[in-house]
Amino acid sequence: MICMVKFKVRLYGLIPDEFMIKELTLPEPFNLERLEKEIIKRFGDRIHTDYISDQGLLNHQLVRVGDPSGKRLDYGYDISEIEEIWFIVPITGG
Amino acid sequence: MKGYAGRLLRVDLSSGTITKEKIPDEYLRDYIGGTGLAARYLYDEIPVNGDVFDENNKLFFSVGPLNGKQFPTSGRCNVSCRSPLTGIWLDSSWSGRFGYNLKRAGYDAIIIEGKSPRPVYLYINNEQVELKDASAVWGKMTSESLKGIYEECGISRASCCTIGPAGEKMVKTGCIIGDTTKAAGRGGSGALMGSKKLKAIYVYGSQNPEVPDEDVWRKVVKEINTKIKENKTSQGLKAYGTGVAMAMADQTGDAPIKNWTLGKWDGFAKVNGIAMAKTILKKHKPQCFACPIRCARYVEIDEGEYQMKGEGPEYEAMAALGSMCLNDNLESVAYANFLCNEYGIDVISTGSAISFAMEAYEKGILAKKDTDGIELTWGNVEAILAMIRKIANREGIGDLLGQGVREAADVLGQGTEDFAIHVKGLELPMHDPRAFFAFGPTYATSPRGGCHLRGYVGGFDGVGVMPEAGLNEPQDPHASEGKGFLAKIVQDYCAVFQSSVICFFTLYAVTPTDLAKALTAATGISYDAQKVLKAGERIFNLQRAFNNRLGLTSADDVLPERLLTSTIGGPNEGILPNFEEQMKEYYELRKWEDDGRPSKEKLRELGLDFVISDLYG
Repeated sequence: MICMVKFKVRLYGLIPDEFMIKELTLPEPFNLERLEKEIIKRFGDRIHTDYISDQGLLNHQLVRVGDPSGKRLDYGYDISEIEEIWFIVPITGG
Repeated sequence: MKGYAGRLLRVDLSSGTITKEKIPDEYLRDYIGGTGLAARYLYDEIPVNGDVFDENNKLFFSVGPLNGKQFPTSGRCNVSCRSPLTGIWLDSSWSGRFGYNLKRAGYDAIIIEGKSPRPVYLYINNEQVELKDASAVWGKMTSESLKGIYEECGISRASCCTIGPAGEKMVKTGCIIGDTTKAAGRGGSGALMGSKKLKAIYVYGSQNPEVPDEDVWRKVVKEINTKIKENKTSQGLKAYGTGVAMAMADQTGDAPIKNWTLGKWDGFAKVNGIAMAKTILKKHKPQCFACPIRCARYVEIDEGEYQMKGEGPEYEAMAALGSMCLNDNLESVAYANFLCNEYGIDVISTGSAISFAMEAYEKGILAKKDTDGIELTWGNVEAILAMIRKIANREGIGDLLGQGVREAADVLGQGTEDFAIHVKGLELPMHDPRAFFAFGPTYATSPRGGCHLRGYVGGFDGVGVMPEAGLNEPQDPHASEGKGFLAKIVQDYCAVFQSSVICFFTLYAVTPTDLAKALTAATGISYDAQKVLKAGERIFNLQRAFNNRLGLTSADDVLPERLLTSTIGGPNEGILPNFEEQMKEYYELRKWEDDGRPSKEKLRELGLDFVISDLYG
């Protein structure tokens, strides 16, 4: 049986003029690589090209990925228990 | 010389005399304008001894070659002096359209000297320049002062900058408010205006500054304007204002919390640019001349205890009056920001001073008897608002806090210096060097004290490149290596921005090559990227020399110990820069001596030979 997990992603700064919170559903377990592919599938045409890597994932040199506590996330492990995953391109205000 | 008016106004408030002087061409060529021109003049004209409120301290208002026409964000004006708050170099600028009008009136700068025996304002309408009686607006809030002077003078499209009651009372964090609510916030230039009894400057200009070739100029302006508009960060700032950075603070750890101690705060969800857009933001009203970014927010609160209309809080205000004080009530943050603008006090220094006082209260160093009965507890909105009023009016403990946290800690003692967060007397802006390591050497060496704009590394650390200066890849924000380098190149570049008197937010899109092209089109002087960066280095080092002459040494190039200690929780917990390594790298690249003076070799290389005898005897 495939178990689906519902969670939120925040995309802040990847789409330059829109900061959004979206609810996604994916079969668990899933890792960051799987999630980024899903994000690019859904929003890739609006995400600025600088933020997409040559491998078709998000460019982690510029895009920071974290859990709600701010802990950085990376590829290669199950992240399906995290309720909200943040993708941000930092802006340092004024 | 094309691109410049080529002259300045010298206003002696003691005698009431006003003269128009030619500016030497070499000053314009070597120091560009704005803060660079100010440094060249004030280095010669402000004595190294004496109190900051002595009549021989001067105010220098200035623009650059890009002002006065349609260059993006060129409505700005720079103001420089010896800072009442820090005692060292100060420059600050505000947006709106004052700089546009000043240039079109036919002046690159105004030097204000002496002290007036009575409240006056300076009236400039092209060639007509006079001091007028300001008694009708003396004592008024900034909005009333501006309104009164606009009505009295009556020219549509004119500009005015003013001080509020705080500046008049010489509160050392008193600022200048221009056009509507645009602040030259930092360092107390408003207090110096107050000490000179200069309430305001009103300016209207109708001349079109000459450039070598109008067609070339227009083409360059159009190209750069498009580049700024299309830049991805510009679009984010346009959509949600600078406050959008507060929405990311849980992830970046950039915004300080509870006087720079915590790393995590639930209030970021309520106090940020996105939340503001959904609640109190009413219109997206363009407020700065020729700005394609339009980050300013216009807000209205129609009901309840925090009713106001006007400019909404920027990121710095949201952090200083929000997370620093654990205040998660957005409407109250907007109102507190409004009060600061009305009284004419710097929001960063004011929020920092209140946060400092709250910590002193928590530790039992301050008690109710010291605060006129105010419970100065974290997150107490009424206490924050009451303290703003006390600071602005120099009442009770507010009199001390308005002198800045360094002076407050000197008076209070009892270990308060450990949590008085400043560099060289200037309260730090709302960016944490534990989140973006490049802020460390930037704060430690900025010529006006702890400042993020005299080296806007936030636009580069982890996000940007500057190939013209050798920065080809974005750096890891948590790497110490390379941050002395980053601080140096961005400081040099920002010195040119502040001398061209344009907004730092264009720096996300405008490269040194672009800026060289614009300066060439404006002046006819042949600039390239290297020449631009060299001019920035010259200006930065002259300001450094200004401070060295006042006694500043490498011992002053430090960060508060608290910022070299881990936050409690948050994304940067346990992550700290190697500040010593950063500074070593920085000093080597700057070619500064161990005692903090620019080396003779560097001064000669930059054409600053005239400084050598002052620094080395």
